[in-house]
Amino acid sequence: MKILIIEDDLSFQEILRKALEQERYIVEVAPNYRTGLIKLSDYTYDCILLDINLPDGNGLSLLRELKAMKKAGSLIIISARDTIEDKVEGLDLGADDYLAKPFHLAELLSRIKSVMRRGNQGGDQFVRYGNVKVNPHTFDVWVADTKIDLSRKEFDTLLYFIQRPTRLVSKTMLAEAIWGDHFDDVDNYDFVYAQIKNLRKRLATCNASIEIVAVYGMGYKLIEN
Amino acid sequence: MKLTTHAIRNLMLPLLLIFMAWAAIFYVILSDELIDEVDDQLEVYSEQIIRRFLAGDTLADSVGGSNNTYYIRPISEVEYQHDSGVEYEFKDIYIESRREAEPARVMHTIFEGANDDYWKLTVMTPVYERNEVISTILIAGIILLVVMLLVIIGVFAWVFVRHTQPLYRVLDHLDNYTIGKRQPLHNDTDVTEFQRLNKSVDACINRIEEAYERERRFIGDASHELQTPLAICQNRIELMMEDDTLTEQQMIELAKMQQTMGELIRLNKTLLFLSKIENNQFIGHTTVDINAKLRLQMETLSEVYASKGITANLYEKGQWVLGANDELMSSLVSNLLRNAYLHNHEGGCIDVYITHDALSIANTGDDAALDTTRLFDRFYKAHHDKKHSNGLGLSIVKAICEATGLTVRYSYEGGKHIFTVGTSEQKKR
Repeated sequence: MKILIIEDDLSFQEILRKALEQERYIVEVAPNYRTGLIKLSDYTYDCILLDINLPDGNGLSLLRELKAMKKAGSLIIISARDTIEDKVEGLDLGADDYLAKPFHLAELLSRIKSVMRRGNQGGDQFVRYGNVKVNPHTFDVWVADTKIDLSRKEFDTLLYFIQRPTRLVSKTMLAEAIWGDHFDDVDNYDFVYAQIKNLRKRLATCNASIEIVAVYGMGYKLIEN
Repeated sequence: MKLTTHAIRNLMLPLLLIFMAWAAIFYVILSDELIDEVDDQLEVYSEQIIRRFLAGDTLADSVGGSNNTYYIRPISEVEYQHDSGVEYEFKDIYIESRREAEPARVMHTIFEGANDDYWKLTVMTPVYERNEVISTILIAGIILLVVMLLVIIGVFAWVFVRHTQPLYRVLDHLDNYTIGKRQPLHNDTDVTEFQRLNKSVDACINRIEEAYERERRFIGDASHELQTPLAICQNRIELMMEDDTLTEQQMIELAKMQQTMGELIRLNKTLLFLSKIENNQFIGHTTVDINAKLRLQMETLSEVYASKGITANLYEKGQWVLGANDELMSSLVSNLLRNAYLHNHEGGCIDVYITHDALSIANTGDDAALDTTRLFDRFYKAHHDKKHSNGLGLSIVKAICEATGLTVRYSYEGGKHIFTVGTSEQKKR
């Protein structure tokens, strides 16, 4: 799997590269519009991470160029701008996803996986881990070969974890993802704990081979037994 | 006191004094003139009498045709020598024809008779007619002066009001001015001073606008520029936490660091959000159902704040549907509700009322009204110990209301803090 990162901030570029390489992706980088355009026309990538604000051009025109080349490969915009208008513009131009800075690395990784899965036309729409598979579009959850029913919040929680297996998920991250908005003013995360407890119980009774474990003082992690 | 009233009052006092002085001088001159005339007549009269007396004519009846009276009496030589001659005086005399005492002008004179004898002649003429003339003239004069005074004040007021119009237009302009929403000043005038005032006001507003614009852009730019470094910092910590060789203690420290980074990032995002609202960057307009938003968010928040044991009730007295930006309306409802939960005490309650054009959220909390002058300020915290509040929630509410033409009011009634958001028509009622 080859990924191209077009990002002018070298420090940020380095982090993205490290994080992706840890996930065993092959990573190429381009610090500006010109290099990005050359790499895009010379090679094909499975996924492209594109920063919109480049020193020598607009990332969106690079996106137009790419679409004109009719090359395969997913594209995720990473931008410091996060208005709905910016997102709509980027997605309308053919980007597969739009991620506003700052974001969690885990979020980026799950988005990459998700767009690649979607790019994989006709392929498997399921997110799998252990003997559990989840279809994010039909909200179906299967453990081994048995379909199970989960409440809306339980499903959202499971999906969030299964897209980021083995990664640490903090309570704040989870609260933001499932309950929406931001909850830095909440002084008690019992509601997250209650949700996790229910989901754990469900997974255990269905004999799932995966488990959500608490990481003391930090949050939770989905692991395979 | 209005400028016109002030000016008229200040004009009236000197005018009144001047007119009074005029009236007094006029009176003195007029009566002097009339007395002079009477004296002249008396002199002519006395000369006639003396001439006749010396000629030995029989003197006319003292009363004569007129009300003039005279009498002659002999005096000694000594008296004659010591007399000062002609003398005038005012005296009340009894007048036969009118049967009453009347003011009269009296003239005394002395003369030497034909036989070395000396005489003193006293002639008198009543002056009531003249007094009547004087008072008539005086009254007419006073009426004239009063009318003149009124006319002067009327004309002055009219001219003054007409010419100070530009001043009031400038004042209205300044009253209606709100920072960031300047209207052009329409104030045509030929008066140099007002032209200067217009220019100064315009220049002053320009400076305010520029400063405000700079500040606004600074906050926006600063928050925007902070995004990437914050992202880098957060992601470096995350990357580091992937390292399995770290000890648990180190991991916990990193998690704490990450927690703080998270707060910083959210704070920055909120500032950016505020700055975008103020720059009117939320342009998408849809039909928003506030009732639905309320129900959804109240459900979520009651779950999130379940540990506080707060009772929340929603009273739907109407359906509020309005055309606005969906994201902004969600944020408005969410911030108001979160404010009610956050600044509540354990086991408190929240009452939410919604009508077709207003939303009001009443919550228990501190036992005192909040400082309304600072309530909506950025980073204002009624209590510094509320470590989980960033003090921006109500600023966002205010900014959204201003951007969408809604009004927000705060009141403290019956131990409850009440925030009411409504359309501007609702406020007028």
